[in-house]
This record gives sequence, C-alpha cells and structure tokens, in this order.
Amino acid sequence: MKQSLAIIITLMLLAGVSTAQAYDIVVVKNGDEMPMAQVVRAFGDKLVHLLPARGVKSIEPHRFREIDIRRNPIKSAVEQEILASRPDLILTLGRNALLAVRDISEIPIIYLLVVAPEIIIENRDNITGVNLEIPVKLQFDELTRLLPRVRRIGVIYNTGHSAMEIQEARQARADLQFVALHAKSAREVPASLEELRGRVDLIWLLPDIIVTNPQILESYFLFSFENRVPVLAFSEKYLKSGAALVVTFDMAAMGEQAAVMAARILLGSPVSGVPPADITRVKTIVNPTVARKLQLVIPEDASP
Amino acid sequence: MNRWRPFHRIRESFVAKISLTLVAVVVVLAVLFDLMLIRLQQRAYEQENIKHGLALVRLLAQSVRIAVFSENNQDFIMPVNSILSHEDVVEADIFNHEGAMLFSRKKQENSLSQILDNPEHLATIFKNIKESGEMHWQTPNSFIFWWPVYFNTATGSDESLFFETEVEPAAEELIGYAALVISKQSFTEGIRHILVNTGVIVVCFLAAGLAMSFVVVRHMTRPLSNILKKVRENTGGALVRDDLSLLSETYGGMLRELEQSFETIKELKDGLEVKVVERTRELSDRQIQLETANLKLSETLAKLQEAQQQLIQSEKMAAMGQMVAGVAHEINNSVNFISGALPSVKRLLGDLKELLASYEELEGMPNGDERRGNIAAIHELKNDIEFAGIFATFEQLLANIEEGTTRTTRIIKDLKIFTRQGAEKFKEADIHSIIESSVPFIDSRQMKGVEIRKQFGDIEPVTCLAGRISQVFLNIMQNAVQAMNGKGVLTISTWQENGQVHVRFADTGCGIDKDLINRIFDPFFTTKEVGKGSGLGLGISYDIIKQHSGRINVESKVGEGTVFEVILPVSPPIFPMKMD
Repeated sequence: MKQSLAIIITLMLLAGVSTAQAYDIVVVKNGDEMPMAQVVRAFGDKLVHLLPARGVKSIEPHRFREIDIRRNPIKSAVEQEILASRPDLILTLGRNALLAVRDISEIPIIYLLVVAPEIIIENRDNITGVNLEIPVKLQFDELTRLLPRVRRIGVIYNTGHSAMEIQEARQARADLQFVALHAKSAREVPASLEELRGRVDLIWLLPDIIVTNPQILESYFLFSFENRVPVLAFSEKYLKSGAALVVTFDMAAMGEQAAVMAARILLGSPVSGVPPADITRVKTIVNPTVARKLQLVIPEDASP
Repeated sequence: MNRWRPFHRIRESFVAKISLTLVAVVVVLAVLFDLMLIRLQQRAYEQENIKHGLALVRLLAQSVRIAVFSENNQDFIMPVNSILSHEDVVEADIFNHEGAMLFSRKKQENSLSQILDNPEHLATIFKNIKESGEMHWQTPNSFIFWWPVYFNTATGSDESLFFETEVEPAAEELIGYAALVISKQSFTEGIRHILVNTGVIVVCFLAAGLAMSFVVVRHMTRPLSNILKKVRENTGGALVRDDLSLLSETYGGMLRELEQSFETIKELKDGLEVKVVERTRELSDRQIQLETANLKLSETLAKLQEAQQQLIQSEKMAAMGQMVAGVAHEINNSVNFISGALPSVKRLLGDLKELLASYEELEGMPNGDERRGNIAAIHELKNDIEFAGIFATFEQLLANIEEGTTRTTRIIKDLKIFTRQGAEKFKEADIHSIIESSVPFIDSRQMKGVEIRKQFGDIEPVTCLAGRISQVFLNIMQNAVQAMNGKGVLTISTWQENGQVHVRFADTGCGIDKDLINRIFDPFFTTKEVGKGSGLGLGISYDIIKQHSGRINVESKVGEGTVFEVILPVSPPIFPMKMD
C-alpha cells in the first residue's frame, strides 16, 4: 500500500515538470555562402543549449529544415511550403530571404544579415531579429585600441545614405576629428579623396552603396597606399582588397544572439516583446601585410 | 681577236652556259628569297609592334578608367606618365565617351599632337572603336593606337557591401577612349637591322650556293665533257664549233645513221622472211627424208634386235654346248668308274659260280679218291681265281661303282641348280656353294694344267638369284681358264666389307690389253676366234650383277693376268624383277 502511494506521488511530481518539446524551425536562406552556415550553426548550438529537448519528446532534437530561395525563387511557393509544415519559428538569413517570408503573419520570424530591415518589416509584429549594423562606438573603440595615434578620420559619405553614421561617430567619439566629405555619386569619390590628402590619419569606409561602390573602391586603396593612410573597413571582404584593418560582425555571436531571441519567443514571449537588437560583439582583423607596408605601429598588447 | 677568245669559248661551251644559267637562277632566287624574307620579317616585326602598342594602350585604358569615370585630372598623371616612360611612346591622350579630351600629354611638349591634327577624323575613330573595340593605324613616323575605356558602374545590393555575394556580371559602360602615339624610330631601326642581317645571310647563302653549284655542275657535267671531247676527237678536232651545235650535229648524224640502219634491217628482214620460208621448206623436206631414214633405221634396228636375239640364242647354245661338254666329260668319268668295274665283277662272279658248282659236285660224291681229286681241283681252282683276295677285289670294285654313282648324282644335282634359273626367285644363298657348284661346269678339257685356289672368307648369305650368279661366276672362270690356255692358277677369294660381299677371281692368264679393257662389257665384243665366243657373256654378266645392285671391277695387265671382282650387297635395296 505504501509502495503504491509512492509511485502515485512520483508520477504526480513528473507531471508537474516543464514539458519543453523539440521545435520545428525553418531556415530560409539565400545561397550557401560561408557566413550563413556559420550563423546557422551558432544559432542551432545555442538554441539546443537554451532549450534542451526534454519531456515526452526528449528523444527528438529540434528539427531544422532549410529552404534555399535561390533554388526556389517563387515567393508564393516558399510561403506555401512553410505554411504546410507549420513550423514553430522561421529564421531568415539575408534580405531576400526576409522578403520571401515577410507576408507570413502566423509564424514568428527572426531575421539575420539584413541591412536596413525596417524598410522590409514596416509594421509587422511577428518579425524581429539582429540588425546588420556595427555600432560606431564599438568600431572606433577597437580602432583606438589598435591605433591609438590615429586622431583624424577621413570619411566620404552620401547624405541620403550614411549621414547618420557620421553624426553617431561624432557623438560617440568626440575625441576624434572626423573630416567628412559629401559625395553625390561615386564619380566624386576620387576628387574627394584628393581633398583628403594630407588632412587625415585614416580613411573610414562606410557601408554606403553610393560612395563605397565596388568599382570605385580601388580609389580608396590607391589613396591609402600612395599616402600611407590606412583604411578602416566594416567587412572581412575588404582585407584582400587592401584595407589595413576591419572591425566587423562576429557571425557566431550574431547567431547566438538570434538563438536567445528565438528561445524567448518559443517559450511563449510575444514577438513584439522581443524587439530587434544591434549586435553586441564585434571582431577585429588586421591585414598584417598592409599594416607592415603602411608602417602601422600596433601595440603588442592590443593585438586582436 | 685572241683577246675575245675566252668569251667565245664560254659562248661555245655547253658547261659554261649551264653554269652561267645556274648562277643566274641562284642569284635571282636569292634576291627574290631575300626580298620575300625581308618582307615577311618586316611584316612580323610590324605585327609585333602593333601587338605591343595595343597592349600598351589597353594597359593605359585600364589604368585610367577610374580617372575617366571620375574625370579627375590628377588621377591621369601617374598612369599616363608611366606609359610615356616607355621609350617609343611619344603621346598619350584620354577622351571621355562624348569625345571631349580629358587629358593629353606628349613626351616633347612643344611637338604637335598627331591625334588632334584632324578633329573631324575623331568622330569616325570613335564610331569605329565602338563597333570594333580597337583601332590602330600608321603615319610615316608613328603608330597610333586607340582603345576604349570601359567601367562597370553597376551597384550591388546592400548585402554585397558586407559579404562576398554572387553578383551577375554587369554590362560594362563605355566611358572614354585612350589613344597612344608610338614613334617609328625604333621600328625603323629594327627594320634596318633586319635588312642588313638578311642581306648578309643571303650573300653568304649566295656565295655558298654558287660555290656548290660550280662544284656540282663541274662534277655532273664531267661525263658530258668526256663525250664532247671524244666527239671532237672523232670529228677531227679541227672544227671550232660550240658544244651544242657539235652535239646536235653528232646526234643528227647518229639519227641519220640509225635511220639507215633501220632501213637496212628492214631490207634484211624482208629478205630474211623469204629465206626463212625457203629454209622451212628445206627443213620440211629434210624432215620427210629423216622420217624415211628413221623408218629404215627402225626396220634395221628390228632386224638387228632379231639378229641380237639370234646371237644371244647362239651364245646360249654355245654356253650350253660348253656346259654339256663339261657335263658329258664328268658323267663319262663317273660312268668309267662303273663301266671299268663291271667286267671285273662279271669275271669274279663267273669264278665264284664255277667254284660253287665244284662244291655242289663235291657234295654228291662219296669219300674216296675221286672226292679227294675234286677237292684238290677245287683248291687248284681257288688258287687260280685268287679266292683269298676275291672279296677284297669285290669291295674295291663296288667302291669304284659307288664313287661313279656319287659323282653322277652330284653332277645331276649341280646341273639341276644350274638349270632352274628361269623359275628362280630372290632368296638367301651361300656364295661359296654357288662357286663350288659352278666350278664343275668349267670345260675340263682346258683344266688339266689349271689349279684352282680357294681363299674363302667369312661372309653372310646373299639375297640373290643363285642360278644367275652361278652363270656369272662360271662365265668369269671359263674366261679365266681360256686366258690361261690350260696352265696357270685361278685364285678365288671372298670377303665381306660394309654389307657387301666381294668375290675375286684372279687368273695368271694373258691379260687384257689396256685399250680393250673398257670395251669388255660391250655386247658382241670378244677377243676370241670367230665361232668361239659371241661377245655377250660378260655383257650378260654385267647386266646380272647390275640387276643385283652390285658391280664388277676389272684389273688386268697384259702377260700377268686379270682380276675380276664381283661386289654384291648382302641385301639388295630393292629386289629386282625376275630375270628372263
């Protein structure tokens, strides 16, 4: 009789334990480029860590299903495929992936690797994510740590695209002198660079499609090499072109950040309660060849 | 006049003409080759220069594309100066896509622009460059090259700023033109080098070619020169004519002679045909005559063969006569034993009959004197008939009779062997027995003073026709005995060597003359008196031995004797057919 009572009590206790289950997550991506895989891997690892599958479904891990919109570019087909499987969450990677699923309102969506997502999201309340913007303060804090002598920052910007960054930079680092020249088009970049000759210690490359046009990019690096002025860029891709150092996203950190947001949503928080966030961690990379050629002095204790 | 003699000689010499022609051809070819080589090298060098110029202007267009895009003069300086630092580049000009000059620089600032000398021409140039992509031409002093300046102005997505994205290649936009003027100074210098080098090479080639030509012509025309020399000698050598005329005349003469020869041959041929017909007819006549003669000869041959058969028959008969004589003599001797004994036997038998009759008469008489008288008469009779030796005499007489009978039996036996030739077949036979059985048939009348010595060796039986072989041996022995003329020694010896049995008959007769010894086996050849020999005996013997795959050797010395050696294989390779 005592044994039967103990079993009943144990079962009642087990019934009271949280019954977190394995979740179906659809990853919508645009191609198989390396950073995407890195982000998805970090997201998955973190999510499993945050939401370990347990309870009656503990034998099943979270299910990740990938949809590549480059292979299936028809938006309605992608939507139908996702709605048919009724996943618990949609993770989008890149602007096109977000555009492909933004009209699905029944399922929470977390975006990653999207520049200016607000234009796409508009007023939808089931979408949140990590903004692809490097906080200016973090960027210049890293710069100062590596190149403490740099004071005069030359930057060419377009008023319509990147005036905000100039303003943020001046506010965040009042100790630095920003020589900012407006360029209406890429044609004006070489002339603007000529104006910067002898006036700056570093060229700050902005993520501005007007003034950082890939075809005019050569001008920046030519200027850099001719005047021994390093270029601070925002993506690893510019290292091989000639940037001296890069302060950029930490892909794994972005994935983990998105996983935290996803966990909150999957555990019941409304999407509106999990607002879009800026990245919290950056990665700094120095091009040693360029640094050596430009005779940059980087303190040993400041090496990334 | 003599001063021009060498030139006349050259004009007359065929070899000199060939040499001069060859030299002229070589020179012309060398010049043409030189010109062609120079032209080819010039063209290749020009193409190389054009390629080089195009590469430079393309490099310039690539270097200034950002400067053209931004139309920033400062950005032109470095790439243009870099191109102008090249030795032969004298001017570089950059235009925007509308044809407006953006930048121009010349190596010598004061010199006139070779590109801008004809502004109206620029519009055509730009149009052509748009269509073909490049352009170049030459002036007397320079090469001018053009290349379009393209720029990819397509903007990527915002994401492409951050990541390596696959972007569709955008169409390039024509934003300007680059022009380059390259002096021809180095080019002209290079061409001059080519001319000089090629000229030197061709002169060397020409010199070597002429030397080789001279040697080759001299070597190859040597037979011709020899012919010409001989022709000149044959024509007297006094005539001074050029080689070709000489050859032409000689050839013409030879041709005429040849034609005459052909005419002669034709005539001869016509005559020959007539002669052939006549000769054919003659031959036909001769053939008929020959056939007639042949027919006669055949008839004669038939008669001869018939005569030969008769002679053979005669020889057989003669041989048989000799044999019969011998046999008769032997039988007579044997019978003499019997016939000589028979009278004595009859006489002794009478004596015995008389003695027995006396004893019968005595049996019936009483004892008394008469009886005693008869007994004394019987004793007297015994003494008369030599009763004591009568039985010994009987035995002697019976022995004689037996000897005569034995001899007769042996003769008959040998005769049977000798006469069974016709049905004879090849079989193994003892040569010694054949010799022994042949000896008795030698004519005994000539054997009185002849001694036969037998030196028989150890030999195997020979497969043969024993009767035929016996005939051969008898013939040889008979000849030997005749040659010894009743006195001498006939030595018969045998031995075996290498599967062959040798039978040697050596007599001590008169021998055979050296000139005749080669003819002794010829049919009808004989040295005997007419009627004593047919001349076929040794011929038949030769055939018989050949029939046994054997041979007969003869050695003879006049006055010393003759040796016949019959050699027979123990086993003839193929048994010959039975002989008739």
